Amino acid sequence: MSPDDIEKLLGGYATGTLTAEEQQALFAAALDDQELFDALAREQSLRDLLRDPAARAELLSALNTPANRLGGFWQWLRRPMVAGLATVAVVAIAVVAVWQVLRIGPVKPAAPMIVAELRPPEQMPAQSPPPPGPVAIQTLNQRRVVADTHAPAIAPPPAPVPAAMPAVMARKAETESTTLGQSAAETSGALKENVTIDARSLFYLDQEAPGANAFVQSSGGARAVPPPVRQAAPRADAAPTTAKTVSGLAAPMMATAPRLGVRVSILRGEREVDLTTVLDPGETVRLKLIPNADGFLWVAEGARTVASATAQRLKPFETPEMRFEGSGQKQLVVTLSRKPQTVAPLSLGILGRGNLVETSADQGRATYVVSGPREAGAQQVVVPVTLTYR
Amino acid sequence: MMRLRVQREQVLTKLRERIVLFAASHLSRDAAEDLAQEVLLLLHEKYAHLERVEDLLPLSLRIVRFKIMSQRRKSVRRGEYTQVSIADIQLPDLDANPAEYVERKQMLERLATAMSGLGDRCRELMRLKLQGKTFPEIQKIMGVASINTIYTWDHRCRKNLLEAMGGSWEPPKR
Repeated sequence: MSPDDIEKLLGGYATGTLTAEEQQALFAAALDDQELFDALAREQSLRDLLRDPAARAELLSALNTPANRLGGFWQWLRRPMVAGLATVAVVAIAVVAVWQVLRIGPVKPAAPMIVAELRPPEQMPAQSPPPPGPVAIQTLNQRRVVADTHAPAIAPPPAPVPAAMPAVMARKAETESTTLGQSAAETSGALKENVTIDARSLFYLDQEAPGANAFVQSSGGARAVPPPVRQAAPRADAAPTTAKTVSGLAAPMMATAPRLGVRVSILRGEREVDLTTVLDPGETVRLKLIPNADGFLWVAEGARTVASATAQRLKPFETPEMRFEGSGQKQLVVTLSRKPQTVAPLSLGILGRGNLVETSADQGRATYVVSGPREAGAQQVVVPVTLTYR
Repeated sequence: MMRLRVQREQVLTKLRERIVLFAASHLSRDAAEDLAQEVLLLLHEKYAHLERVEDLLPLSLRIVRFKIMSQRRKSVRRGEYTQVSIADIQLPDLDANPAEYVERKQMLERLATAMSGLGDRCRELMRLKLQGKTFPEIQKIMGVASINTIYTWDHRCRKNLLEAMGGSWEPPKR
């Protein structure tokens, strides 16, 4: 046995596990090796303890109890190979972490790319706001006219368009409008039979008002222009919906012929009311007229011309103050013509029977009158106006 | 007969040398030589019939241990390390030694606790050793091909056990 092997016999000395040969080898070596002798001497206390059978029995019972797993794990962890592997793993993780830091460190973050920008809303030219939707459909002469056979019912017009909106929203709305407009145009044949058109929509349909609305200005899919902006602050979240509605309606309507129309309202001082408003006896009022095309405007009461002027598209025209005595209804005739002409006013009332009339309610109440389906593409539209006094 | 006697004299000579060096690490040089002399005197007078090293060496180690413990107690009792008033010195109890009993009990408890923290293999090895099995028997029981493997396992287990007990089988001296 080598000296190293003999040293391994120390564990058997205290417990008396050594055979005679092992004991002889160990003791003989201990006589010549002081360290081994000292180790044997230190084992003597344990040997004396284990010579007692009671002490052995107690230790055996301790060994029969379940092992202390935590202690066993701790002992396992303290084994040289395990400790070495753990150290190597920690060093490897540290090296990788440092390498990652050094690799990522020099990289500068990319400059932020602006994909959208919020700009302050632009002020649009003041115009009379169109009403958001129809309240009732009626004619001035107590008649109800259906637009044409392709539009048997009158659909509510699109909601008013905001005066201005952020560029981001406008871009989004334009995209939606384009997409919807294209899809609507593809199916315009089918929609032609189903889409309902009202006077207010037709009034604005004929307009090409660049700059009046940002939704369709740069869009190629929707030539039709939605109603002009209203003066009141619009709801911010209404813009996409409005654009979608307008573009969806406008695409199939592009096939219809442009129609002349007039937006008519009564001015009671500075307050604007629609034509159905019952006026006070002797009240002085004015008429506010907004044509949807350039031309000429006449306002006549019977054979008398109350006012006339050159009309510009979507430019309001106000008549001089008018005062009528007595109660009942006073009949006026408003004529919008693309060309100057002289027509007997008395005969004009007959021409307005086929018009499409709509009274809308919004902040500025007004009545929209456009030429009827049979007069589509006509050079003039005649609007009978009835003022009712109590 | 003559040869055995010569061998005995050689063993006792070496034993004296080892005992002196070992005791010198715990006591003074003079005390260590006195202790070795007392051990040899005891072996000569009381255990003259023992001639083999397997008998003489364990016996001499046990005597050395007892002598060292006795020497320490005597030193404490005489106040060699802790000088106290003579009125406070307790009279030695020469009968049953309760201090030794307590030390033994403490050592047993520490040993049991340390053994319970060993791994399964060490626990099994210690169990077989406490049952009185020899290393060759343990080799067969554990199904190990080489006896050196058993020696190595036992060496590691003893080392772990000693570390768990703080590096010494005996309780630390106060």
